Amino acid sequence: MTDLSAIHHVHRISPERQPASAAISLRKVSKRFARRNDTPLQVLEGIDLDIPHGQVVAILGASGCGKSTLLNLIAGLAHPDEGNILVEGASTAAYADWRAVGYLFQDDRLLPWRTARDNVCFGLEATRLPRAERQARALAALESVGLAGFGSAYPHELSGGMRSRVALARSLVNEPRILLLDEPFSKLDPGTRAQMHAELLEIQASRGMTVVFVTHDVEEAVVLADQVVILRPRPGRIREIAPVTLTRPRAPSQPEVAELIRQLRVRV
Amino acid sequence: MTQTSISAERASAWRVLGGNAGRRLLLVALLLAAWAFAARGVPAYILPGPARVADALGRLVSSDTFWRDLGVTFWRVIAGFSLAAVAGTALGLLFGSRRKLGEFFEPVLAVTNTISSAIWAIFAIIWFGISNATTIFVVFMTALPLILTNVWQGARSVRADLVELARSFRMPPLRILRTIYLPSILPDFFSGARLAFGFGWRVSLVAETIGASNGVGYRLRQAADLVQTDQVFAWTITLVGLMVLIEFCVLKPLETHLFRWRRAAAD
Repeated sequence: MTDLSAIHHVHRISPERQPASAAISLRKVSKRFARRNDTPLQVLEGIDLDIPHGQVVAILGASGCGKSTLLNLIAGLAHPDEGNILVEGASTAAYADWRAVGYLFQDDRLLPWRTARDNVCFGLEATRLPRAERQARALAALESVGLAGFGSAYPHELSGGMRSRVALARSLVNEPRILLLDEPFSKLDPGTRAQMHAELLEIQASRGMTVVFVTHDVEEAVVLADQVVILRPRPGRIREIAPVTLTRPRAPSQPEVAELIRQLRVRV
Repeated sequence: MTQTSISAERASAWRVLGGNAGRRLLLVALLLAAWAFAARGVPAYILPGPARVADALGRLVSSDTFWRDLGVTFWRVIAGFSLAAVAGTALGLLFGSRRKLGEFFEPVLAVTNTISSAIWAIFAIIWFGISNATTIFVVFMTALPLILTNVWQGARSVRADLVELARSFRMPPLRILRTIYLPSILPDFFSGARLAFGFGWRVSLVAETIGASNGVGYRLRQAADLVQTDQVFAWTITLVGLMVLIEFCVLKPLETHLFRWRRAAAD
């Protein structure tokens, strides 16, 4: 844990911008959505952002400020109208190794007709791995999120927390170097959610993954992130980027964590 | 789900089944009695009694052509139904996923639905004469709209979030079709196919009475022409038995197996 925070520190104080060395960089990114019988809606405008390897970055903003759109642009599921986005140094149009980019949606999106194991397998089905190998990896991924022995359960037989773990395992089964999360675990109860946060950080630290997540919850941003990118709505622009240097694990009950949460809340 | 709740569920299922079986037997006995009562004093060519029909059924089953007729009719139904299942699924998926295309072709389906199977049979005679193709065509034209309508409906309600999930894994379109679309439409396909098979089976007899030189429908007409009413009854009982057998030995178990993932949701 201490080693990793030291690595993060090096990234943070590195003075010159090195887009090629950043896991993700965005340059002057704008996005508009066409509207029927109306002028196009400007969702994002002039986003400049570098996300270093191995960092946890929160994109924080009220609903409607384009944060999910920003995540979809990074994931290559949507394309910017202006500017460009580099993932591991390649533009999203040219980037080939999308398997190295995991995406965890807000809801678990498990296929109801598949068992937990086969849902995790789904993450591997765009690969050429043989079936037995996929299933073995899926079971290993389930084990890594604490669901050993639940491989043959159907989603309706699992609790909300367990379903989230299956979805997390599905995002991790390709061993991504970058993990994108859209309001992760936001439908879980607070206790389960805090537990999922701790497990996510543990997995992130052990693999050195770059994690980018979108949230409207200041507390979640402060507890998880090395950097908090605060967005301003209509159109979505970056208001400021706040580094979080507090030691982990962080709990909202700790005074310095609570103080930072209070400060950021004023600025959102 | 725990072991005890599963076994308790099974036990109660058996009790219900046992009760059901008892009630069913009683119902059959009552109907037989009513039939026997109604047949008293009526000439056998109008309404043969149960004993006479049982006798005819025995002679029918042991005749040389029985299995061949049953087999050929069954084959025609399966052929027409399978073609309709493939075409209906393909078109239903296409129209369901390409909304504009679907809206354009929707009236064709509505018009097709109004055309009676008897009309298809007459067209089939004109086009194909006395041949297998006549019956297969009629079954196909009857089954197709039923399967198409259901698959179309199912394809329209495929969850967009699951398609987006597949896209986030960079799944190619054909794989998305197989992993998301096909499982999503399976319940709709199944109810459409079950309906289509039942209808197809019934209209196949109509087609065979006018457009075939063998098969169950042809034998039924022969029996009617010769006023062998007991033969007609014997065939009817055979067909009813066959459909019940298919329902309980093929369709029900298949349905339970395919949709095991949602059994608890239905409770």
